[in-house]
Amino acid sequence: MQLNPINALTNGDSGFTTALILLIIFAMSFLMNFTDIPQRIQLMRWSRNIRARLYQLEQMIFSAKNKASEFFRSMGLNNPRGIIDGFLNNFFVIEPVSIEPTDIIKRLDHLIRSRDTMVKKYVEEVMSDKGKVERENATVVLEIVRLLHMVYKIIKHYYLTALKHNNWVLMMQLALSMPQIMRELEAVHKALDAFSTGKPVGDSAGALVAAKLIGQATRREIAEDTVMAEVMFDGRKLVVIKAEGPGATVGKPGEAIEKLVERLGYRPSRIITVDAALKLEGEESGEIAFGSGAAIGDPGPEKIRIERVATKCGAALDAVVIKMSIEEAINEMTKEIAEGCMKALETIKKIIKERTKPSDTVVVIGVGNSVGVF
Amino acid sequence: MLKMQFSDMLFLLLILLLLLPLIISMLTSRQRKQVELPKKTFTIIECIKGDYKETREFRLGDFVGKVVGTCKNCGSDLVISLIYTEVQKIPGARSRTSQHSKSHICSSTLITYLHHYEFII
Repeated sequence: MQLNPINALTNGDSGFTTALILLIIFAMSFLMNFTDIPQRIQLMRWSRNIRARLYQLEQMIFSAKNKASEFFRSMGLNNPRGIIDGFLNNFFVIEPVSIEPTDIIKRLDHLIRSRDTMVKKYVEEVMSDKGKVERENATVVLEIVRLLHMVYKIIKHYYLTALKHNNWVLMMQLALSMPQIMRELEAVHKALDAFSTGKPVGDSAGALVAAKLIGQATRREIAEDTVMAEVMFDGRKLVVIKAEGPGATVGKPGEAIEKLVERLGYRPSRIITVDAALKLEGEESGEIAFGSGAAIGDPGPEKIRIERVATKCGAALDAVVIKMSIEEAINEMTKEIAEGCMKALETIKKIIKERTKPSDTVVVIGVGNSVGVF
Repeated sequence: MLKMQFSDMLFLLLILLLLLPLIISMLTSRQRKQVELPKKTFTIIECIKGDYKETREFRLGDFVGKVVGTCKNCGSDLVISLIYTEVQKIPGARSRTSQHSKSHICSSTLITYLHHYEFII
């Protein structure tokens, strides 16, 4: 009787070989079906995958910090690393109590404003001799580095938790989400270039359309970092509102329209909001769509103000959106989106001509970041 | 000499079958290196009366609405009217965003019908 499988193979003892094959199949099927070995193997594979992504993320943060340091150094600041490190772990916001919804919007608005003021003061302290535009762009640069750092910490937390508790479901969820997370973080990382050089980004689409409508008309500040201008178009009075620019700010369009109606006594017959919107996979960038409602992606306080003003005045609320991906929204404005802005401008003009009468007052709000757009 | 019978070949085939998924998995799990396409940012300068237009490369300090000079033809202000970035096309290189499979398009069309809301940012 031959017991050596190598001999069995070379000498062609078919009976033994068949028995060996059956034994292997049986053993493997037992191991795969009645033990947690497959999960452990997958856990190892997923954890290796996440470790590699975390390493990539570390490199990304390192590069982002270097770029931010370079940006601050180019402005003549002495301790750029100190400025970045002082910002990284601070300036979080704790959500307001939501089980008691009374005045939640007011409380949320208050918290957001308090946080914004705190950030502004920090940037003013470290860049006291710089202009408003530089300070606004620097704030976004700091926010980008902070976001990358925060996401890295959260991913690392879930990874270590899954590893600690052998939680393969958590590890699997994290591993499967990582490609999408990484794609978005890469876009955030690239956004540093646009904001540090002051180029318009995809999200500046709304502000760009508003700027086109304003042209050379006189502007005046109506709310914090927000300007308004009056222009005549086809016999209608247009009141255009946008973030101040050309620094990176989104302004307070809700507060602006509230002041316009309640303090300055304007009675618009139509309010048109124009903003960037996320496209669905398969849709073309720069596509235009219009509908009803307030096109603004804030956490709530600004949007509710626009809705309340429209309801109070009985004004129709139109939304014109320019489609783009999340990567395009935070990176330099592409030609397709710039062309989309021109189409959006024509759509707004068409809406004004077709749905309002001469001598009506129409408010157009260009929502979005005003980086690179005055 | 090596004598191969049917059962031996079956044994080798089994080993190959076991190894095959492993090799496929290893090959497909490796990240495909993406080609980073070079980008160029352009600034369009226009006369406010519309009788002059110029396109040049972006310079630090440019922003839409900035007055950069006076028109040679009419003496009006020359204003930056647009700033946009174009991805330079390299023959054979795959762009990161423009690849959509047919099934992708079909499923996204379905989603478009199901959702009536836009995701405003």
